[in-house]
Amino acid sequence: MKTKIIIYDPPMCCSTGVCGPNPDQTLINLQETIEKVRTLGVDVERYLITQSPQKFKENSAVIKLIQEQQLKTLPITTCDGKIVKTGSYPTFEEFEKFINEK
Amino acid sequence: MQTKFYFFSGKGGVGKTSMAASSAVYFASQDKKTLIITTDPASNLADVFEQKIGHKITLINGAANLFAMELNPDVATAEYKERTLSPLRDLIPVESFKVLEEQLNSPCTAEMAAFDRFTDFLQKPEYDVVIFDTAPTGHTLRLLELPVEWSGVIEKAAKEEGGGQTCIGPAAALAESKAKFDRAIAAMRDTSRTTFIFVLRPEVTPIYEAERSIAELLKLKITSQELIINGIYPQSACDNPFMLARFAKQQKFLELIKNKFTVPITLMELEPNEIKGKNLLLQIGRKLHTQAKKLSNYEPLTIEAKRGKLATNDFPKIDKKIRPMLIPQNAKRRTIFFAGKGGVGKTSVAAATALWTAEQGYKTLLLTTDPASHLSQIFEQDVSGQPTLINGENNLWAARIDAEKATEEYKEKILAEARKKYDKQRVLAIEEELNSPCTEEMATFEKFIDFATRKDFEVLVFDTAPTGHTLRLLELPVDWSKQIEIKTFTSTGETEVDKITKSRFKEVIDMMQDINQTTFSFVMYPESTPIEEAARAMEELLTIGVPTSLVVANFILPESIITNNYLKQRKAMEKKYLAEMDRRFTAPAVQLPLLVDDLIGKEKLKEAGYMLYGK
Repeated sequence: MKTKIIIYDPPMCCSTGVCGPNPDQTLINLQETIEKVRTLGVDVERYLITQSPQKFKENSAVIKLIQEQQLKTLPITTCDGKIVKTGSYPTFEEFEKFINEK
Repeated sequence: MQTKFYFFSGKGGVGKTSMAASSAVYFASQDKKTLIITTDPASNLADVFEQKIGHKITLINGAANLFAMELNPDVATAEYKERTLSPLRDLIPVESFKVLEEQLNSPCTAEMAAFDRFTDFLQKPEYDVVIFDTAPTGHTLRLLELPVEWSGVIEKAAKEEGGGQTCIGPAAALAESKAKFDRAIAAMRDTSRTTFIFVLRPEVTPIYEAERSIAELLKLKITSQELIINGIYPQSACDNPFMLARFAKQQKFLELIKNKFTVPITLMELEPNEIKGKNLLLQIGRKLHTQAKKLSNYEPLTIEAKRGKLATNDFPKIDKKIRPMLIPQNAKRRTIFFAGKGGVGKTSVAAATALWTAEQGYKTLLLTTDPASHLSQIFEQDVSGQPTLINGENNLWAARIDAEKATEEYKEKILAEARKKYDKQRVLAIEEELNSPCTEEMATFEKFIDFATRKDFEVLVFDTAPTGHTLRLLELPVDWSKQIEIKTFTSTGETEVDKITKSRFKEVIDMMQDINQTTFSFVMYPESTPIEEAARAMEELLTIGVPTSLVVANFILPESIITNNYLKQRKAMEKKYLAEMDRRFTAPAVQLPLLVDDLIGKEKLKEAGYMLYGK
């Protein structure tokens, strides 16, 4: 089965990074990274807590972490359901590592 | 039988609600199960039906098949928020949940919520007729444009051209909504099911607006359109020179409209009394749908009217207390906002005020944020995105915020940065993401902040868009500042750029809250809808700490022209509403009489300025 990476985003208006008063460099870069990761043949999905709360609910480990550490723990990245990174978005090298170590 | 939809639009106060409500009563009397919905926060649907309605489908008293609902945007937003966040309510800590709720107070949510409800109502198979007594023009069109735009955004995002993300969530999750939006668009485009009715008065500015509205709808491939010209004076009521001159003018406009439009046009006379109560509504509904004249079968009259002069007691007294509120205090720029429903004469009053402050010796900029503004027409010269000196003046400049152009500039600014950093693929994706409805609002807002922080004028007069839009624009500095603050609750944190942005917003917020710098004024005419809307807006502005300091009552019937019973009835109604204005607003009020001519050209505007504030 194809490897699936999910990124659980913190609350924000819009995850593209180009909405709002200042374009968000981190988010624009992330979009670029994700496209590169997809070329490795893995699925990458992103969910925003204020738009897809159901998806958060479906992963009990993610909910538990928010219960313990509040929203500062977001973004959370999972690889096939397992949490692999919290508090910031992974770099391309990190994504590669998650996929290879699986 | 499939449900038939009727959309009523037009500037506020043209009698849109009366036309929509009387149609509803008429259809119900024809044994059709009918629902009338208003999305206008200033709606007086409850007044018209003389019963409480509110944010739920309500049976009209004494009717078996007539229902009404007043869609409350605040309640719709709250419901939308609750529905969105409920899965997490008991799962995550209270503190975090509060942050999520706060985030959903972002400017996008209200729009999404309203839109959500709107598309819901476009699929009501249990009714034979659904009538939308819609919010004023600009807002209506924007709402209608949304299904088309969102649908496109979702489609592209699903193909992952934009990385699978859209402004309103991941593409996959939206597939279901897309089907709903598509059905909504299909229903609106189906000429056998949907009719768009634009209501206007026989005056010059609404004609431009009707033209624009028809073109906009055609762009959305919505072709079934009709016009109602409402408020035509009965010839019998025009038995004095002033009224006869106004009657002659109306007839001239009818001629103009007849030559300009190809859509079906129905003519309705100005009623002497308020249209309310089921009996009167049914009577008007019958008139509208079975008896009223069609412009195509009507020959407008050509009348050479002598110009009556107004008597001196027709002019309101000048209140000297007003003057200091129009000029700079403590060497700080004076900013004057004119707001109110469409069609109340905001632009004319703003222009007259700007001419007045300029003549008092202050370097003045008149700025319109209304996409439908006719500033160019009333000054008889081009007004663009850059301040232009008004011909023959040395203290008065005018400019307009052009949403489309601002959006282009805004996109280009972001893309220019992106091109320096990213490959072509990525830039294309960003361009795609920028094609969201939020971008236009952001771009307009940036321009507003730019102008609001300018230091090179002594007086800045804002001619604002109809109330809903304006409130949003004015609340955005507060809303976005909060959105930036949310970042401190998450790992993202505030950046240096965010801090600079916040301090710019704060400057504008501080300015708007200080009555020594800002005079916030509402223009209205003494009738139910304009008063209701202004009062509501005043309350809302108070929640962001902006007090209302001036009220302008426009189109006051001069005493000297009340020569018959019809006019007496109109005057009595006016007095009732002037008293109501007095009761509802504590800010000082100025009055402008109804004049024979439209306020076009500098000379007439200057005269109006003297009537308002003295020489």
